[in-house]
Amino acid sequence: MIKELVPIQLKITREKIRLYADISNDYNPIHIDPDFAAQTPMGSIIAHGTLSLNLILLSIEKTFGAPTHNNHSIDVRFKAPVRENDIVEATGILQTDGKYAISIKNQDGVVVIEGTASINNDHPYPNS
Amino acid sequence: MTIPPTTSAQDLTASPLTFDMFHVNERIGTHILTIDHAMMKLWKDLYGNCPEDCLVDTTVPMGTVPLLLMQAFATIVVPRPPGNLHVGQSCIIHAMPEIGKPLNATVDCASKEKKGTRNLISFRTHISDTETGYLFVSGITKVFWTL
Repeated sequence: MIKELVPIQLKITREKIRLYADISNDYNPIHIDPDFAAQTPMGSIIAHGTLSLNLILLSIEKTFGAPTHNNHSIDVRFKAPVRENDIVEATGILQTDGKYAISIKNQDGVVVIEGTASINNDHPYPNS
Repeated sequence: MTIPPTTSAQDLTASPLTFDMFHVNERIGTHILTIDHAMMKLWKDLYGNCPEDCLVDTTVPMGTVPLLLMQAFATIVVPRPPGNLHVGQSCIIHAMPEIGKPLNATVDCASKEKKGTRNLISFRTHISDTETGYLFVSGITKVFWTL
């Protein structure tokens, strides 16, 4: 098994947050309205959690290739907000139980998303 | 059924759904969604050419799974109160669909509980082939619900 997932970085700009709202159909004002977000405990707009989480799946795909029939799974917690102009990086390290410890950290090393991933490319037809 | 089935975009003038309106194991709604080449172009604007050749591949990249789940949730579970927080996500990926293929998305209430003063709701999403019913992706989306 591969010991580390290929890391992937992304700079989170306000434009990317707005574009992600458009393609996800999630217009929660905490992501797109600075005045609203300023009145919340977050203090300013935060990025959609899945805008960063997508990087984990991209990292898995970049490491193992495009999936065919498989049974990959992930389970994560969103631990800290990602703010505009943060640079986030997705990584994963193989654990002794065969799962990957996956995380996304910001430019200060703060873990913003953390969890596990199970990679299984040997399960031919999981629905059958 | 407390929550009427949803098939269209959010009506921003409607009163938001509240924690009390969700019932465990009830279907909240269904929606047909598609990742087409126009969507893949926007994907490239966000993430670059990742994976490589994402604009010419015929299969939806696996990186879009959280996006698919969020599209389904955001389109079906409406109207939502402002300020909800997405606190957890799990998913199982059985296979990825072809680009342009219509997909059937369903969202159910998987569980709900009080966490101190906060309302935690887990939503179960299934994304499957509209013709064969083949399950491509399933997921649990955990949200602190503000109302």
